[in-house]
Amino acid sequence: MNIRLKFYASLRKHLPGTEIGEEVVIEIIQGSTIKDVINSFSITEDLAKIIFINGIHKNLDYILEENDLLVIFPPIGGG
Amino acid sequence: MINEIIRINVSSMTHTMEEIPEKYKYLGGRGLTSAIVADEVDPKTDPLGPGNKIVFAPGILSGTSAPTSGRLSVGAKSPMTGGIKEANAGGLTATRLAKLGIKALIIEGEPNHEDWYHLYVSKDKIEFIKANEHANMGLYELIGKLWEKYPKSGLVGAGIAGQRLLKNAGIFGNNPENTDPGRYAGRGGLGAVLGSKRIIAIITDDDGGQRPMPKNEELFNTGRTKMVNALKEHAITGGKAGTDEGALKNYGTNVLQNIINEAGALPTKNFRSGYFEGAKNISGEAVHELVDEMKEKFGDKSEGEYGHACHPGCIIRCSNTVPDKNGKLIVSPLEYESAWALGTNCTIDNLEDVAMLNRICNDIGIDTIDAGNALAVAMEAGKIPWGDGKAAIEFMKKGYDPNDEDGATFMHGAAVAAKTWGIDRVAVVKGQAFPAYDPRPIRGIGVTYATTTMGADHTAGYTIAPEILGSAGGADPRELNKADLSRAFQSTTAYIDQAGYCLFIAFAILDIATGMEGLEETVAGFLGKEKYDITAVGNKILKTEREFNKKAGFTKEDDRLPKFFSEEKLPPHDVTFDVTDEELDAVFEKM
Repeated sequence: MNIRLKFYASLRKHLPGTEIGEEVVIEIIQGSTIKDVINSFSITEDLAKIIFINGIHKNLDYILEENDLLVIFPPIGGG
Repeated sequence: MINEIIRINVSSMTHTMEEIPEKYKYLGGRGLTSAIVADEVDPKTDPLGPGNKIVFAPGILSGTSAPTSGRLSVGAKSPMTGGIKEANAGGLTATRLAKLGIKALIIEGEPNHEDWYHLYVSKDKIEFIKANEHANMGLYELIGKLWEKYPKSGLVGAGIAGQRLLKNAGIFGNNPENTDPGRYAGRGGLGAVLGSKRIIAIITDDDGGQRPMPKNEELFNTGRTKMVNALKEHAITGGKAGTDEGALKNYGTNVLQNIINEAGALPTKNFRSGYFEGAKNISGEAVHELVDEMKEKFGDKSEGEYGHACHPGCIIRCSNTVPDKNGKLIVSPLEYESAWALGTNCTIDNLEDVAMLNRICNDIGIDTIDAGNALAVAMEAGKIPWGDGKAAIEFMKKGYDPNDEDGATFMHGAAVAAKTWGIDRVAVVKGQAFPAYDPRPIRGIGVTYATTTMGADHTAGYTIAPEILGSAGGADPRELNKADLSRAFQSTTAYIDQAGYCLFIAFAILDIATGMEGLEETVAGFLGKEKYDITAVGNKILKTEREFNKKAGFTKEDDRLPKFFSEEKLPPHDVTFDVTDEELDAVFEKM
């Protein structure tokens, strides 16, 4: 099945060639969790600090559904 | 001068020095400005009249070797909110004042002349310098001229807007390189209070001054080491510019543009949507790329920069300089709140236009957050097309013309602009415009906007840290019971503001327990106290401010958000602000 994916800030290097905020469609195995996805990109858990599924915070154990928008930020802050 | 309060009287054009009284001995920064304003200013007084006073105070630790502690607090009764105000900023003045032994500079009285003056403050003398030739001058030019004569000095003051007593006038400050007047104690119209005293700039020269020394050096040093380590260790405040490590050093505060957008909480088109397609174009990542691109093209000649320090001794270094296509400085810094207000909230997504709008704010002396909200109001009124950056720039330039009515209305800020132009839709609390987080999907920050003594202000109790950024174990942004969270943040913030630390130490100390110990130990060690409890001291500052506001006439009804936030659903999550009035009232009732 397919999901949509966006990485921001220092995680963008894992999606080379994409523009800031560009959505990438990837194919995953049914039943995959967010943890499975970040493992496949060799992103460590401490770097996948802020995770949204369709704009709602989720944690690494969330099981992805068809066409979910997965957005991941490293630890960031500001204001 | 050691531990002195300097009192400047603009009626008699004289000054006095007073040893700091016992009751203020353990205060600094916001704690001291708010205490002095509460003790000496009648809450009912006209903010631009003879009864108001403006107070400049470095934090308790400013000028010491505590990291990232060089913040300046400015306090007065606010012409914008009608309540007490503290606005704080980096720049040079806090550390300069601290090294001269000045705990607070109070400007009071009513000028009985039509002239403009600068105030020169140094080890040997304090004097008024006639400055009529500098009135109505853009601030980039002004700070350049002043540094020619007073190199390395700290500069703060009132720009064109402040001199004209307009309600959104900020207190400008020069940055450490004096390339930009953008270190603003921006909010609440304090520039107009200084303007009412007919002072343009305060020039602080710390030549011959000394670093303030802690009373208990051992405790201070223990705390200092803990604070340095926490700031270096934490992924947000640590790292190194130009590497993968360190969010603030690489992307600045404007890294929030994309995350708040993805959370569906980025106020777009005057709070009509929580998502802006163009946000990415004006984000911290976009500034980072532009800086790199210009460095590649022009090498060291490019003035673009990230990982820039806003004051001496800052090790977080979240500031930046946005370059134009020739590598020359447009503005420094471009912060998240400013890029949001002048960009997203007006649906302008051209980075150069947004940077230019920020530059004009800095040049004429106004706060960017209220300016962006006022621009959106001008768009509501049909004076500027939505999303048209070039038209917005031309509109904002009306501010330079003292005879232009729209320019003056705009420089009063969003609340006055809306009233004057007959627009109902304006996001303000206590007359001060909202910052860059829609409170409908993020309820805690709405509780802070509603209840803080300052008018709508994110920094007063930055619950975004747990609600969105996962700090301190995280908090659900939709949860409605947020009085305790907001109160805890408001209280800790007051303590940080009093210490002179930058609020961004919070990211590190909320996650690293020894960092939190370092906060109290540096302050207690410096003051020679065994303990100096964070919550108790923070609450005391808030109570002083709250009491002032009560006497100024504020009631519970002033602690509410505009109605459309509870009535109109915000896309994309289609949520309203559902926090009850009882919950809002609990912030102070249960303190």
